[in-house]
Amino acid sequence: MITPERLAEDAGVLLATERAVIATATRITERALPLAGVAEDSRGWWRGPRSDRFRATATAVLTPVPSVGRAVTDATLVLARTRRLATDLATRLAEIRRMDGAQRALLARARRTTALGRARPDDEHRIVGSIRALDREWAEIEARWSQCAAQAADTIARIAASIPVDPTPARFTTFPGGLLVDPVAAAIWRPNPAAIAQWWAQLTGSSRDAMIRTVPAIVGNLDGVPFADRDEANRRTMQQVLDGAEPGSPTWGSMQQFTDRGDVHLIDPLRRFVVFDPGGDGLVAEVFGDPGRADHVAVLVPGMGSTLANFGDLSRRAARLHQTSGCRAAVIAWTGYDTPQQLAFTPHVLQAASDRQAATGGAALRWFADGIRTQSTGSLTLIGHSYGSLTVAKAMQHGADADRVVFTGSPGVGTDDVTDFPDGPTEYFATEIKGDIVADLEWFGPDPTDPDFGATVFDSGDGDGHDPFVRHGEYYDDGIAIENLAAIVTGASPTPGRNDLIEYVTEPIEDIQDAASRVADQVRASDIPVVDDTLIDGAILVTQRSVETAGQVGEIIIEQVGHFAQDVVEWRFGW
Amino acid sequence: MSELGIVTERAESAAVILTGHATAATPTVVPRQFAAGSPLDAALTTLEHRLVAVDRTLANHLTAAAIELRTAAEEADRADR
Repeated sequence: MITPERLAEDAGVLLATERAVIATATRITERALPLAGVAEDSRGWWRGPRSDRFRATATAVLTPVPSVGRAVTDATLVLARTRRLATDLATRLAEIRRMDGAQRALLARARRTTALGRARPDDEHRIVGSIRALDREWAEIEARWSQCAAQAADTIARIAASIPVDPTPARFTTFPGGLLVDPVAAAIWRPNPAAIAQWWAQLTGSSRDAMIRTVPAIVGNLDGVPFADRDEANRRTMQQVLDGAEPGSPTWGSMQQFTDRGDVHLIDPLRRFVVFDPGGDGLVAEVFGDPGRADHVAVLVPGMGSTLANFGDLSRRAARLHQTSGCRAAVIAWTGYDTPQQLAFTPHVLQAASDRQAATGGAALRWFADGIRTQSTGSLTLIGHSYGSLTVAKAMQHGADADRVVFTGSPGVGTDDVTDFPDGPTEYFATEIKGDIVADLEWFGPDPTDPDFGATVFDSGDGDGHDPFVRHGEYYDDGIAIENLAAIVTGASPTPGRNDLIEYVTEPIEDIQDAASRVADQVRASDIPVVDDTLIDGAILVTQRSVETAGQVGEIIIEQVGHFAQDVVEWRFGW
Repeated sequence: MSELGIVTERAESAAVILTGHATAATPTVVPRQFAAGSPLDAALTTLEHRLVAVDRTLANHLTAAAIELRTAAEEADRADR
């Protein structure tokens, strides 16, 4: 149902669109004119075949611009006409509404006076006729607007189709100096890292240097470009950020913490950064070891609250894992995605997290992993900690090519079991430090250390902290957890996990519950006509009772023997 | 100033100009939902997306042209010395 308010809103949106179209067209002109000017001007001072190619390319690039200008002129005319009509019709609808209200009031009064014998029935009929006429006009306006909007849509669609757009939206643009990756395409479509690696290898040294100097923010984060070049580009970006940051500004503070030094204008020359973007909370990744030479490469993916400012924590964890592996594995600390931020490390705040950032991060991680494959023949292990385990799982679902995947302290990885991941030879591992509260939350699906999940569960010890949240952060401290991680990363077998006694008790009960639930579901889904309804109801009741009884038995057992029995077993068997 | 010196100077300054225009942001697309229904919405979205694509492609070309000019400037500078 159309209303004057809604139509006025449409007119406002049309005006905003008109302005946006004009703004984009203006920007196109602002870009085209300098290029045309430079190409023309260069005739006076730059000669030779290379300059001729430059000018020819510029001419080809600028050729479609006039037709874009014509299309924009036509489109804005249609938009303005449609907007004016919407405004006029909205005004008329408002009038109709006001007149309709007045007529209805008159009608009510006429009916009252007719009933009292003081007015003629003709008055009532005349007013009803007026109201009906107004209703008809309202309907006609609605139909007219609908028709005009459809015509405008048709015209705009034709105008849009006349705008020449490169059918392959610019992953690469050919210029005499080589190929350039489109910044937007690089950010949105993430070109194939293998193609990027091939393209980068065929550039001349001076072209590569020119790109590193001119667009360091792109090269430094471009998956497929060798890590040494990415590091050089990122160093330039960092220096630009450091030089441009106002002392005391958020960026300055963030960089001061990131560089972990008193003098923020110094970046440790021994560190190597293969991702760097200071925007927002910041993205960064650092390499320990040489992925090009190492037999094994591991990527550490952190969870909530990871930022550029506190990257030092993840960096130290990666360095420790690199050392624990006997420097056989190159380890990359990767905060290459915007992690959910935590105001305080409480269950309430954690629960507010969604899997949205993990999904986005997972896509980025998939491309990053592909980039590693272009320069390493070693095995690749993705290790997710906490929320980062969900990010790693999403990367696998996006098609990441990893030999091994490890979930540590996971609140769930968005799948019921490992069969939900794409088929392939990838091995899945999971672990939790005893008493790590986050690892038992199951906010994003079943605990991956649950035997039903199907991952190889390995031991991470008991943890040292009394605070369960502190335990959540101890996987990379010295101890059995990091030793097992190093074993997995280098292709060895970790120490098997120690199931709690409670899990030995609850696991069969959960199996009974699962089986009973499946029977109940099958009975509910059954549409065999010969089966009496009461039999179905009875069967459902029996299975429901089985589920409830199993649950009650489990609760009783847990309550009665729980921690006491566990202590006994620990004492008896030394687990 | 030598001919190569002029190439160095002019190419470098042209590269700076083009880089400045290449890095200017593309205007944002208007979010909308018309009472008149989806055809107008879809057509305007297509129009805006096409214009944005043209603008982004042009920005890309400008960056590439700036790189080319900068490379030419450096080569001329080396040859001049």
